[in-house]
Amino acid sequence: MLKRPVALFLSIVLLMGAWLMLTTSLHYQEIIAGVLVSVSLGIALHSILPKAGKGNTISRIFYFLLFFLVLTKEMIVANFDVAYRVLHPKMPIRPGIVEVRPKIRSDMGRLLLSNAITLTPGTLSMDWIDDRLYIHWINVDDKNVDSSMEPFDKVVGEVFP
Amino acid sequence: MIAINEIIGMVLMAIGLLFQVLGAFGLIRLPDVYNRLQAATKSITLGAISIAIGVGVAEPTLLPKALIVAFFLLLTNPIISHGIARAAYRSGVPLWKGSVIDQYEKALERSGKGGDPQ
Repeated sequence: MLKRPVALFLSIVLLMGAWLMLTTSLHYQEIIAGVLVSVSLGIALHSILPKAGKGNTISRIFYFLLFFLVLTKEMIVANFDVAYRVLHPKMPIRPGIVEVRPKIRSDMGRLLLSNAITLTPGTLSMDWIDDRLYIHWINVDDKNVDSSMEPFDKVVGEVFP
Repeated sequence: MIAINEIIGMVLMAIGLLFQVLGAFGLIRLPDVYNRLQAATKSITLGAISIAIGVGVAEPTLLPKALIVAFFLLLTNPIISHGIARAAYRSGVPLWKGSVIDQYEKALERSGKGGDPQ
């Protein structure tokens, strides 16, 4: 049961933190219930936490924060892009599904990359087949297919190679 | 006298509502499932996050809950839209007639997984 003590500890701390944020109270009954729930859930579920990747932890944390900054910026740009395409009388869209080949190999990295791609302007990730990602793109640029995933492939690759 | 944080919260909620309206507009105007999902996912994710954070700023006792709601919206919305797009394609919903390219169809045939709900 205790093959991964660090993962167990981290999952209990995360669950307890989420509990405290949801209840927003420090009453002793809430704390007791929270400890019971988070310890039992942590023991049951800590094995599904992803394994720590290789590489320097500090630089991975730095790149993760950078990822959030880039994601926020891209989400705001994406919303203005949607507003432009929807409100323009002629609807300037040129949709299609393209294939890209990200360099990322780990499962967590692929999850983060596909989620980020869905939230960036004009792209929606549809499926992985082997190591290729299929993206629905609202305004296809044939010459420059990789620009649909450009801001993220490198940054996510630094966190989860 | 309205406190400054209430004003900021209301501005955030108004921005969120504006994006939600634009997303709904896109749902009506754009031609097929995939394009509609594009508008829906982006505007509704950012709009809902903006409303949640606006509520948290205007009413600071709700801020931790609002942050958790925003975090889960950010995590789950793209996954759901990805699932809908994939399921729609595999159950045979065609692309809009103005679409220019479809590399997914050939790849599905090549891998022999077409029509398989796995």
